[in-house]
Amino acid sequence: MEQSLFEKYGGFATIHKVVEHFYDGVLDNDILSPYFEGVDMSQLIDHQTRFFASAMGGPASFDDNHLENMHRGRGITEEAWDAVVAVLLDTLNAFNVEEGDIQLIAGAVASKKPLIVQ
Amino acid sequence: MPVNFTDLPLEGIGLPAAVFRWEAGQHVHVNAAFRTLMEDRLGPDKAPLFEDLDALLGGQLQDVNPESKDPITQEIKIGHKRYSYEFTVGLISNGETRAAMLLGVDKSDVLKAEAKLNSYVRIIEENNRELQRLANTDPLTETANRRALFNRFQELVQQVADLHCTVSILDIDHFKRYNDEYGHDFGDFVLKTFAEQVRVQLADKTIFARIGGEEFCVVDYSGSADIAKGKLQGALDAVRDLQLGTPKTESVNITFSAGVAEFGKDGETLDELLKNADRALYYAKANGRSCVIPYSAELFEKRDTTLIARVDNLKSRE
Repeated sequence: MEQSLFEKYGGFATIHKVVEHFYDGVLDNDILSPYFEGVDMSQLIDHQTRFFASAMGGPASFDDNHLENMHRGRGITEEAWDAVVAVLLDTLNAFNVEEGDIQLIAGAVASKKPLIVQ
Repeated sequence: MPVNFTDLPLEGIGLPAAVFRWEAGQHVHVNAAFRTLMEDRLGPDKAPLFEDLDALLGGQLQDVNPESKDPITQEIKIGHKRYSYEFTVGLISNGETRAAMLLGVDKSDVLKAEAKLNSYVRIIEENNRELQRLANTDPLTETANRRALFNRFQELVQQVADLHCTVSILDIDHFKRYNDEYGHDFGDFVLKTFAEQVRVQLADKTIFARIGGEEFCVVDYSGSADIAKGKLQGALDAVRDLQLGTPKTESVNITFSAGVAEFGKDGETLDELLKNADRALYYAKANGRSCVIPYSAELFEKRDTTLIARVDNLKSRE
């Protein structure tokens, strides 16, 4: 069986650090930070952990309905989307994810854009 | 001379620290680390008051018993960054008056690590449940598989005292013909449609499993063999009414034959019950198909050689 990116990059041990980087990245961003006002920290961590585990072909599954419900009504703009993608790419680069693998993950994420951006 | 609380050397403590009189409205002595941490709320030149501190701690101070040293957790934003600080409230006394001392510890990393570990636990649990489901499910029809059938029957026997249930085998009539005539994709479509329809008709108190190519088993523990047979007859009527579009121009109707064995009367183990349900099933096949036939020991005791020959002949052809 082909190895998933989740396994290739070290499973939860790496996801742990990736989430740390991504979490700080989105909260530290002027465009993104306001979206997370009042969002519970543990909920945000859980969401991001599932996101990375799922996007990298790991054990978590991210149901489309769930994804849409979580983002609906939050007024997420194109600008905010671009900012998240930039933080995501920065995070993946920081952990030396190979270019081809970044493309795969970014492609999977891009396919969910209509569920998130209003 | 009693110690003046405002003279306490808080700067040496190395943690955000604040001392205040226990009575509301008294001045508070804070160190630079505390002031930096709370800058947004206190203001650099403002002497913080009890009420300010209480507001600062989200109104939680009133509930604190300083003797117990229960910590207060507070989320603090500095710029965009979020921190979780845990404040211990401890009682100090100079012999004349009491004061409370707040010491803050940054717990952000601990709480984040906890949140992540909890997340991993939930993800792994969900994943295990999904693996369990896949191991017990027929992927094509989403019914239970043979393994799950035997496990769930065993649980049923162990959990329900004075169990009344029936074990039936349902076999789609002329299935091989559909496969040969219209291809395997159509065969799969027949199986899926059949399973969906039967599942709807059976409703609760049943175990529905695929046990072979076009063979399914229904364990019905509604309480009476008559109800179970009635439900199967209802499923047969519903399946018979379906019009299935084939890859060619025509559509086809499907039917099934079923044999029913009763727990206790026709066997105690699932193997015995399946064997007798199978016998009744082939009797149904030999008698024109598209019917539900209960097993009867008497029926087979007649040793009707003609029937047995016909059943054997059918078995080799189906």
